[in-house]
Amino acid sequence: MRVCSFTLAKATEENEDAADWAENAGVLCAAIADGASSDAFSGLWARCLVESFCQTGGLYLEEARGRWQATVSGQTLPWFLADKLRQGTHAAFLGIALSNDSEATVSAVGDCCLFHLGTGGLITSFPLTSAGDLGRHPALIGTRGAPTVPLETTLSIGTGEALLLATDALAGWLLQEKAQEPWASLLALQNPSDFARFISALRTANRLVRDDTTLVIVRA
Amino acid sequence: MSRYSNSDITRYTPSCFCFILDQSSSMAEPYGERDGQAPVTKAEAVALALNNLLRNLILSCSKSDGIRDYFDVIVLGYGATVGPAWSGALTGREIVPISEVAHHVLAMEERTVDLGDGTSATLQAPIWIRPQAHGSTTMCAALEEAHSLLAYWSGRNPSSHPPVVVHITDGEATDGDPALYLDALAALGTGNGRATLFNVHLSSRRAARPVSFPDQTEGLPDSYAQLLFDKASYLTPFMRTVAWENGLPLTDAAKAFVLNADPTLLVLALEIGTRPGKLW
Repeated sequence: MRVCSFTLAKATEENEDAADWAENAGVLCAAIADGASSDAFSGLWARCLVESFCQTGGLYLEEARGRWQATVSGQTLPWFLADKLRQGTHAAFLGIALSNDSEATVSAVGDCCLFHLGTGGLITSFPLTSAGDLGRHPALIGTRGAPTVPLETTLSIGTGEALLLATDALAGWLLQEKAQEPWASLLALQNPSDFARFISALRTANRLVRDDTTLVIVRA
Repeated sequence: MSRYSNSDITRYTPSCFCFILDQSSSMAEPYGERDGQAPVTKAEAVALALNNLLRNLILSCSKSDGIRDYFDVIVLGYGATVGPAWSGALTGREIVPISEVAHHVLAMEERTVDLGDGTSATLQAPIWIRPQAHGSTTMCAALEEAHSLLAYWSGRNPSSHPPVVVHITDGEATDGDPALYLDALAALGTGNGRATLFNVHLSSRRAARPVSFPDQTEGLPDSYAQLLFDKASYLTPFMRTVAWENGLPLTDAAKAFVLNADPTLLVLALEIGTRPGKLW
């Protein structure tokens, strides 16, 4: 398995997307998360989610919330940030756990999307299947409140196949363009500057929503 | 996660909220008995609603690195005097960036706040506006001042989302006919469209039937209500979506007007009026 991950903020401020991957006891975990732009510290929550998933091998909300509490507690904040934190913060999430026998379990909440590519092109996408699935109110995982039940599926990954994990802006573009087979251009990306040039060109052409953008590629 | 479009509100193209508050002596009348709540005056209910709204606006602009100036805020009062209604460090300030509002709280008061998920918490709530109820209803003078400030603001922010003006009153003007002033306010705008003018009429009469965001004049009780209806803007599609999310389905012709508002409708009108678009 080869894994690479790329991310590009929408502007100069904090990137609220997060990505991580790790291999433990023969299971490869990779995850992306997209912090809600209306929340404060949502990038931090996105990071807690992906790190928790990759280190524990699954989506354990209480463990992730524990990481979050440890990160934010004890800070002296102005009244508005203290109030905002009390409201909680949210993120969309997608994680895969891929075992040695190439069986992948996928867990998703919200509008991050997985694309399973075979040698002949797209095999399936999950949980979104068309650009119209991207709504104004995606499901999100919160730092407080009742847990959101993730959508889950399993996939069998063959040799030479690849998985793309994309946050909503890039997922939207891929779903929009899937008939034009946009996969090769993503699989050809070698390093962060390739990714930055590729995404910036799409943004300049108004073909990609100006948003934090993250991609993880897992090659079997 | 964001969807960016031309007239979205950004720090580089901030929008503006202008609140025009009736602070005449009739605002000292009791209000809110309809809900079985402890009676407060209309002035107290407006101050409470506006302070809560300013807090929510500030929270919507708060990110981990501080406040993003998505909005400028104007708060004008009219009654014994006409002018900015701020006290303390903001006294006399006309157009105030939201970050400055956040950093110049007049006082913190203990209040129970709905956290939005069915739970509530007691916290220190910020206060900027104190209830005022003195003098006559000098509405025309206040509308003229609002026009002057917003014309200046619009000239400096031609690419911004157009401003939203929320006029809260319980009575009729004593200094002239407000029709032309209301027309002039609603005609202001930016390259992205006209201003949205809200007329929020309060009632202390228990029997008065509230009318929310009507799309026709049928059922309006008198020519004054007709005037406030006529001069109010149409709700924007985004505001209608917010109304829908609050359980209030509206037609495309719904006007930014509420009549005989009780405290619940006052808060809802402010909630709908201050959600002009998405913030990026």
